[in-house]
Order: sequence, then structure tokens, then C-alpha cells
Amino acid sequence: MFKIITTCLFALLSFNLSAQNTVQDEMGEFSIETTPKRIVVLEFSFVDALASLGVSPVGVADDGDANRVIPAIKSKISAWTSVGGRSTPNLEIISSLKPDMIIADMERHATIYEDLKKIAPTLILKSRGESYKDNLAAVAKIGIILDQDAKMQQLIGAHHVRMDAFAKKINSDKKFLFAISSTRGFTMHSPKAYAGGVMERLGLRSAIPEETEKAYVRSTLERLVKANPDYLLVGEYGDQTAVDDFKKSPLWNMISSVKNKTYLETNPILWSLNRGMIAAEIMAQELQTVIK
Amino acid sequence: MRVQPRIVFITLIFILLLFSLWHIGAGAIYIAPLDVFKALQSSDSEHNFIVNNFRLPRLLISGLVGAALAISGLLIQGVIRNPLASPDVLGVTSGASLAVITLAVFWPDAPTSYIPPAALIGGFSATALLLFLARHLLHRPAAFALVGIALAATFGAAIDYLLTVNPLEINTAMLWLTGSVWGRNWDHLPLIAPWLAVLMPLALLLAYRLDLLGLGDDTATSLGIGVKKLRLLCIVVAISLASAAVSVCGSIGFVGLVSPHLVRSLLGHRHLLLLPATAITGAILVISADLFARILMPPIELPAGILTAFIGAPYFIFLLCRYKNW
Amino acid sequence: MSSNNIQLCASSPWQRFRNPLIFAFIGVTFSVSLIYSLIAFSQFSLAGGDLLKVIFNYNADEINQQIIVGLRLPRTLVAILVGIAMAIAGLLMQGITRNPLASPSVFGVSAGAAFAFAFASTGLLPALTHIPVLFITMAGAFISGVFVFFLGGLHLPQVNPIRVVLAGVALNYLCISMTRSAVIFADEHAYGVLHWLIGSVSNTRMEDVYTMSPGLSIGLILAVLLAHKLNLMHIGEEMMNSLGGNAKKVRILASIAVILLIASAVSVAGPVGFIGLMIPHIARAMIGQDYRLLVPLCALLGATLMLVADIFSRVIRFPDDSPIGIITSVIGALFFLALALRQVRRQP
Repeated sequence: MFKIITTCLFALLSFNLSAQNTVQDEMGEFSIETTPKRIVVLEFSFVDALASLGVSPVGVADDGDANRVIPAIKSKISAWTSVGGRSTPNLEIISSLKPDMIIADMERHATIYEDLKKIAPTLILKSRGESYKDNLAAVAKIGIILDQDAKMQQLIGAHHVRMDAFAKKINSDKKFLFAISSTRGFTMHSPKAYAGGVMERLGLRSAIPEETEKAYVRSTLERLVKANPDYLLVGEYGDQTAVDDFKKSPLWNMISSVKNKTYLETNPILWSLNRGMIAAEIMAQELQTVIK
Repeated sequence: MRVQPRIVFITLIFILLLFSLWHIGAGAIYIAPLDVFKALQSSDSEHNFIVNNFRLPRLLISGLVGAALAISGLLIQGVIRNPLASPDVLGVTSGASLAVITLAVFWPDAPTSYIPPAALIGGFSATALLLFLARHLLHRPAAFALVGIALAATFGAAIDYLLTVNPLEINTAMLWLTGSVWGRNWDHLPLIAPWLAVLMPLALLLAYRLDLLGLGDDTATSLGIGVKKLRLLCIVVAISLASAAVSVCGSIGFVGLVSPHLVRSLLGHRHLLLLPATAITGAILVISADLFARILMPPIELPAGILTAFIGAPYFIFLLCRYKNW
Repeated sequence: MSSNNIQLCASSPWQRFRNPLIFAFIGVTFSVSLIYSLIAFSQFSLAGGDLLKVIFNYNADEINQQIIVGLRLPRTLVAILVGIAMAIAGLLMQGITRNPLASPSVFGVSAGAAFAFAFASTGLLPALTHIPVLFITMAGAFISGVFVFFLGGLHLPQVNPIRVVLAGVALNYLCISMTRSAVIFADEHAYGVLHWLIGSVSNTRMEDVYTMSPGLSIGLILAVLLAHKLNLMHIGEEMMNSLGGNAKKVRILASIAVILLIASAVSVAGPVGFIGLMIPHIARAMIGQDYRLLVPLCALLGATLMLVADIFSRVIRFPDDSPIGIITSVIGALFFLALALRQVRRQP
């Protein structure tokens, strides 16, 4: 009992003495005493958050391909070291970079949380499968930890102002859908997915509003025809993908967006991988130019 | 081609040491052989962190998992007397995988530390079911294997069904299924080491009796061996080892199938010699697989299970083509 | 298996009507599932009326009709053809190996074809992309078939049926790991490679039916022509040779048919499992050992089972689609287990 009280007192004292920043992350309370300088991030969404603050990460889990970070973000930060794939980041490289903080994704990196903590304090947040709102919450937490809370709140405010402006200009009552097409199939992104959330933020209707549980919905041509989006944006991974098979069917031409020539091929790296405020504004810009 | 056992053992141990050294030295961060020793000795060496936290535990776990799988394969082949038998064929791996997938599907928030015990329970339940269904077949090894195969197919279908109806996307369970040593650390060592420490001596005790079993059931019985009991014991030991291995690293294929063949072609059929040699061979296989998984496409890490398939599969085909003693 | 349950000629009135009744019953089941499969479980409310309109008053601009013609019809046709191909392939394999467990999936032949298909489409060897899919799957089926033949000891005078199964399983295992590896090497987000390994008819088009038809027709014609010879073979090889038949020739021709059938099914739908194992057993339980009846009955049963499985694959996660292979695998693996247990009890 005595021990607990002293620990509590000690904790209180140390809290008062140092400029400690504390947030709730997915594993509980995360606090750090000094402002981190060498940061390793294990998902693309965290790169966006750091870039908005003008902070360059020393290491990024970029799947071994630096082009998976969109140019708009890349230009804001200096070159980084790749720490391998997002699903199995290379712990040796992370530790050799001698980071003073690691930002990890709850879904992918919970298994190696303990190992990461041994290397450096690890902030574990939602990234994979996050919604637009989840992302903003995570961004705000990163702001607090980097001791730039005020600046981050200001950036988020400015982002909302710009998004409101886009929403006003776009102002459409049509049904929108973003989907990913690969050799293995066609996956629609519901309003729960990031791209769907951005569309919702801009006041656009989703073609699949009934999907409130799942972020990513695997789909056949029949379901796509049923969803019947007025605007269909497809990000293709590869040259010959599921959507190329769809195009050969007469039903393809019955989809409203194909009929109205508002079918659009987009960059899946922007629309699906690089989740964050910078990407969201570029997506809004792209939407504004296509909408007639 | 029979070789002096002494030479075989010296060569195997030499190769094991060589690969271990290479395993610790090579990777995304290169550590020169001399620095490896320095890092192992003193805690203030610059590579100490990487060696002690990542490479050493991975090396030990790969080695132990390989040894466990290889011994398991040797015992099962010895009992079933078929060169194509292995722990995977008897449904242990798929039983363990089914348990992990079930955990991930029905309890997605379960901590990841629950995966190894779930796999262990799955592997043992699969064995219990197999022993129950094939309880009259212990004297007919091939028929026993057939029931194991059918059971494995059933588990496989159940896994496919669960994964399709509840898509898990890329997550821990999927990663675990492919068989990998990535992210394994000192905490995983107690999940495999005790099993091996207990069951390896037991397997050595069984070795002489297994040799007699190789002479045929009648001869073995006339020499005072309880054939049925021996088979049961061997199968239980083999499957426990395989379950423990799978519970740590997921399904790493072909090790249990290939290592016994390789060693048998060098050492003949005396299990007392075969057992340790097979264990070392299995360790070498998994260690080299993990090594290549790290150094082939750095900084990307490949699953070691894929690499054992690449090393094991061609060798397996080669072996089968010249195998005569069916 | 003894030869006295062969019913080459029917005698009693019940036996005279039994076979036509069986065929009629399955024919009706088939037709009902066919119609149901064409219109049921869609997000569009399709009805029998739409089907009638397609037949009598076709209008290509109406969406319901277009769904039936453009999506449901090819899918249903492919399901039927794959069912026929796999069932007949299984029947022939069981006939020539006299092994009740012989079938495309248990012997690893369809896994071999699927591996060839997956390997070619990953583009690791660019030359392979110019060869038609059918030839690639044929090569895969042929190579794995040859492997099973020799590894399983089918060329030896004394065949151990379980050894063949072990060879098939080992091969199956090998092909599955290699398919996984090929896909993981070629594609970085490839942990969900399940659909390469399960078999599905979800996104099929009319072209797939054309891809299948040449191999399927040759395979079927061969099966029909060989039916009588297989009857003789069933009685015994010496008997057959003394009657002027050539067992070796029958085996080779039947093997060609098997490879063609499996290759054409896998090239379109992937390795849909266990149809070839189940159907011949069910058919034999219904009408006995006469291959002249078994060939058409297996075709009909295989098609019906695939149609029913396809309907189920749409139901279990409606409105999401599931690959048909998981339905046939779950039923088929349990069937396999039961068959294996029966098989080992029978042979002491």
C-alpha cells in the first residue's frame, strides 16, 4: 500500500516537473517526456500527419517502394529509410535508425508491440480500416505528442475550412462510389472506409449507404449494377484487373456513371493508401474537377 | 551411399554452425563475423541490441522448430512406414490452423498471445479425433494415414469456409498461417524448448524399438515389443512435437517430410543415429529458410514457410523419383 | 466390389422402371435448380416472368433480362459444365485405377492444373502469357497426373490403393504451397490468395463457356465410347483381354479424357473440389456398375450438385458472393472422411 502511494506521489511530482505529453492510444495511456525528433512510422496515414507539421520521419514502412507516398506529401519531407513491408516491418532496420518514437498501426502491429517498445516508445493508433473521423482523431493525438498541439488544431481547423469550401462548390446530389480493382477482384469502399468518409464529408451520397458495418465490400458486377453509382471512381492495381472483365459485359454500359461518361480511373495510392488531410484535400480537388 | 556416422555428424554440425553464424551476421544490417562474437560477449557493442533482441532468439526458435518438425516426421515415417507421411499429412497442422482461425473469427479482440495455446489445443484435439476415429487401425499404418488425410481435408475445408464467410483481410492470423519466424522473440522460446527437452530423450529411448518395428510386426512382436503400444506412443510424441512447433511459427512445410529422407540416405536405418542427425538437418533447413527470407529482398521479409517449400519441394520430388523401398 | 451387382439387363418390372425413374427424378431436380439458379438470390427482384420474357420477348435494354442473359446464364452454364467435367473425370479415374478414392482433387491433378494456371498468370515467365489457358492447365494436369501415376505405383502389377492417395496428397500439398509462393512473389498484397486455391464461378462470362467446350466435348465423347470397355475392365483385366479388348489402350484413352476434362474445368473455374469423388459413388449406389448408364447419370448428377452448390454459395453471405468451391469442399471433405473410414473397415 505504502509502495503504491509513493509511486503515485512520485508520478504526480514527475508530471509536474517535466513537460510531459500524454494521450490515450489503442493500448492505453501513452506519454513521452521529450519531444521526439527521430520518428519511425509504420503506416502511410502517419506520414501525412507528420508532413502537415513539417516533420520528416527517419523511417517509413513503405513496402520497399518510395513511390507509394504521393508526391504532394513527399515534397514536404526529406528522404527516409524504408523499413520494409507494412505487414512485416523489419525490426532490425527500425532499431538501427535509433528512433526516439515509433508510430504503429493497431491492426497490423499489435503482435510486435512489445518488440517495438524495446526499441523506442511506441504510439499505437488506428490506421488500417480507419474512417475519416478516426484519422482526424489520430492526427490530433500525434500533434499533442509532438508538442505541437496548437499548431495541429489550427491545421485541422484550416483543413475543415477548405473541405467546407469544396463541399459548397461541389454540392451534388448524385450517388458516388470509389472502388479498388485488382487481379483478385473488385472491392467497393463504403462510407466507413477512408475514401467513402471523405465523400461523406463533402456532403456526397454513397451508392452503398446500407453498408454501415464493413469498410471494404467485395463485389460482383451484379452488385455494382445494383449500386448503380452516378459517379464511379476506380483505382486499379495492375494492368489487367477485375474491372476489365466487367467492361466486356453489356451490363457495364447500363451503369449510370458509364452511361453518363462519369466513370473515372484514379490513383489507388492516393485514394486508398495515403489516408490523411493532405490526401483528402487532393481527393476533394479531383472530385471537384470531374463533377459536372 | 552410406557414410561413416562420425563424418556425417561432424559435417552436419559444421553446416549448422556455419548457417547459424551467417544467420546472425547477414540481414538488412550486416554484421561482420568478428563483430558477432563481440556483440555476444559484451553488452556495449553497437550490434548487441540487434543480435540479442532479434537475431539470436530467431535463430534459436528456427533451430528448435526445425528440429521438432524433423523428429516428428522421422517418427511418423518410422511408424507408418511410408516415405510420404509427415505431420502435415496427418492433419496436425490443419487442426492447429483451424483453431487459430476460429479464435480470430469468433474472438477478434483476443490478445495475440492466445494464438500459440490455441494452436496447441487445436493440434492435440485433431490428434485425439484421429486416434478416436482410427482406434482400430494402429496395426494398419497406411489405413491410419488415410484417415489422417481425410481429416486434414475436412479441417482444410472448414478453414476455407470460415475465411470466406468472415474475411479477415490481412491480419495476424493470416500472417501466422503462412508460417514465419518474423516478430518471434525470447518470449516464444518457452513455448517450444521444454517440449523438445522432454520429448527428444523419450524419442531416443524409443529408437531401438523403432528399429525392430522396421523388421515387420511379427518379428517385432516375437522380440517382445508391444507393437500397438509403441505405435501409439510414437504418434503421440511426434504429434506433440509438431503441434508445439506449429504453435510457435505456424505451418512451415516440408521440413518433417524431407529431413528424414536426407538423413536416411546417408546413415541407413538405425534410429539412434537417425534421430539426432534428423534434428540437426531440420534445424539447418528452417534456419536457412529464415535467413533467405530476410536477405532475398531486403528490407521486405518473406514468410519462411514459402522458402522451405522452395527448398523442400524440388528435393522431395527428386527423392521420390529414386526411392525404392516402399 | 464383386461383379454380381452389374445389371447389364433388367429383369423384374421394378428393375425395368427403376433406372428411367431415377433419371426422371434427377432430371426434374436438375431443371428446378436450373430455373432457380437463373433467377433466385439477386439484388434485383427477378421473377419467372423475366425468364419467360428472355425466351419469348427478348429486349437487350431491360436490366432484369440483361442480368439473366449477361450474368446468370454464363455462370449457370459454367457451373453445369464444370460439374459434368469433374464428375466424369472422377468416374473415369475410379474406373481405370479401380480405386474408390480416385478423383481429381484427391489425386492432386486439379491442384496441378491450378498451379500451372496461377503460375502462368503471375507473369513470372512472360512467354507463358501467350499460350491459351486451356493448354497451360492441360500441361499442369498432365504433369501432376504422370507424377501421381508413378509415385503412386500405378505402373506396378500390385497396386496399393492407399499409396496412390498418399502420393496424390503429397502432390496436392506441393502444388498448393507452390501456388501460394508464386502468388506471394509476384504480388505484394497477396495474403488473400484463397481464391486461386478454392475454385469459383462468380465472374464467368460467355467466353468461358467457349473456352471449355472443345476439351469438354472430346472428353465426353471419349467417355461415352469407352463406357462398354470400362464395363469389361471392371469384370477383370484377363477377361477383357481374352474378349479382345486392350486394357492398356483403354487406360491411355481414358487418361487423355481425364486430363482434357480437368484442364477445361480448372481453366475456367479453378480447382472446384470433390465433385469428382462424390458423384460416381452416389451414381453407383443408385444404378449399379454399368458404365453405359453411369456416364450420363454422373453428368446429370454432377451438373445438379454444382447448381445447388452455386445457389448455396450465393445464399450463405447474401448479398455477398462466396466461391462455390467452399461449398463443394465442405460437403466433399466430409464425404471423403466417411468414404475413407468405410474403405479401411472393408479391407481388413
